[in-house]
Amino acid sequence: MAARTNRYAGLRRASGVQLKYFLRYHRLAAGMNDGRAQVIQRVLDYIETGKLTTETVDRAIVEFLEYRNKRVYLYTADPKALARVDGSVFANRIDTWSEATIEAQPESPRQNYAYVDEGHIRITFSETHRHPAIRLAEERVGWRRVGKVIVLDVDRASGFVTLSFDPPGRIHPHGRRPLDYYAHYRAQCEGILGTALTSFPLHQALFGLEAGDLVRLQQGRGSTLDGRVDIVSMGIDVRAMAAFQAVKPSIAVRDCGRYVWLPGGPAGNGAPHLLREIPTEIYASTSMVRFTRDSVVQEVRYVLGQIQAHA
Amino acid sequence: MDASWTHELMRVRDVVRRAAPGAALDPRVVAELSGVPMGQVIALLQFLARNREGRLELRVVDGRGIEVASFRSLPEVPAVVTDEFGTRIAVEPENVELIFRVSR
Repeated sequence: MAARTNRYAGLRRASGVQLKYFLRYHRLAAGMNDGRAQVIQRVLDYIETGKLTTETVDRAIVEFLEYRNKRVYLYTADPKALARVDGSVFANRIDTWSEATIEAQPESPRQNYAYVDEGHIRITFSETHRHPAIRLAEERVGWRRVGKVIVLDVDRASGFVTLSFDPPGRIHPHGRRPLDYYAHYRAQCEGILGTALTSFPLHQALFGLEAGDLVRLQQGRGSTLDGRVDIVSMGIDVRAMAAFQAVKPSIAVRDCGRYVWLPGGPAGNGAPHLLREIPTEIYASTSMVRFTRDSVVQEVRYVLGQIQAHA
Repeated sequence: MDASWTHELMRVRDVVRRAAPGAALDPRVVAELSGVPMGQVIALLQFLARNREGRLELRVVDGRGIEVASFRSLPEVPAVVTDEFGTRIAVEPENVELIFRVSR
């Protein structure tokens, strides 16, 4: 009973969209027109009828917080150094996903858990930031506490590392600037992994994506010798514009753009890779991918996997 | 500077001289147009800066890529900058760029 209560509380932290797509990616009826409370009940019912395992749901509860609307910075690290990382040094190490928990609004920054196996490392941190909140009726300005979840994900064999952030609040524990928040976790993760993190080169990936049909490109910014070129589509894709083809030869590097990932393509289990369009903003200069919708783990992994494959 | 880098220096300098005086050159553009790797380009731009052919700056841009302010080092970059129209911009990593300002 306690486990069911905990699971209910965990599922309440996910958005309705996340819950519905979690079910759809598991090829289960999701009740797309249902309210959030009904979908939570549906998930709990699937556990009782054996259509979902408790392990799957417990992992999803954690991943809803770890993959929602994140700014994901991509890095490469030395695989030899990553192979030397000893999992036994982590105080909060877990062996099964049922043990993974995230404290949503801790008093001070904390490491929630570390999952380490032969090929993979995932460490999750959380902390509490404050945003100004204006109460017009009372003519008062207060502060709203918001929990932030930061996730380090490491593929030990390839050296591909991602560091995912919730956007910072006005007040955070690592300094006075948003830059200090990002720099703190990058430095901390370099310390944990014992190696420097180098920005993952994204320019070739953007060229590759532009040449293919996995995405539609709503807006693109490129640099020339004389300055920047920004192209915004009035239709669905800038590549259909004559102006885009005209300026393309003079663009030396792609800076950033809005890449909308298209649904389709069969995955290993017979379900499509993506069940809906996934809008992202990709910044090549800082090797960052921003997810702008209540994304779920399957969608984030697909996008990052394709970027890695095109680089 | 190591003499073996002379050829790369010529290629980088050639790109820099094609830019308009006062232009903010993205080192990635210089690397792409000169065919010299990014790390070497940064080193060579530092060399050109010592020769007063320009200077390296960290500039803060708004969401449209328009320059709002520039600084000599990362610790000098503030949390928020205000553009000439009074719009306050919270400085995220995506707003900060390293550029080479070509001498006028």
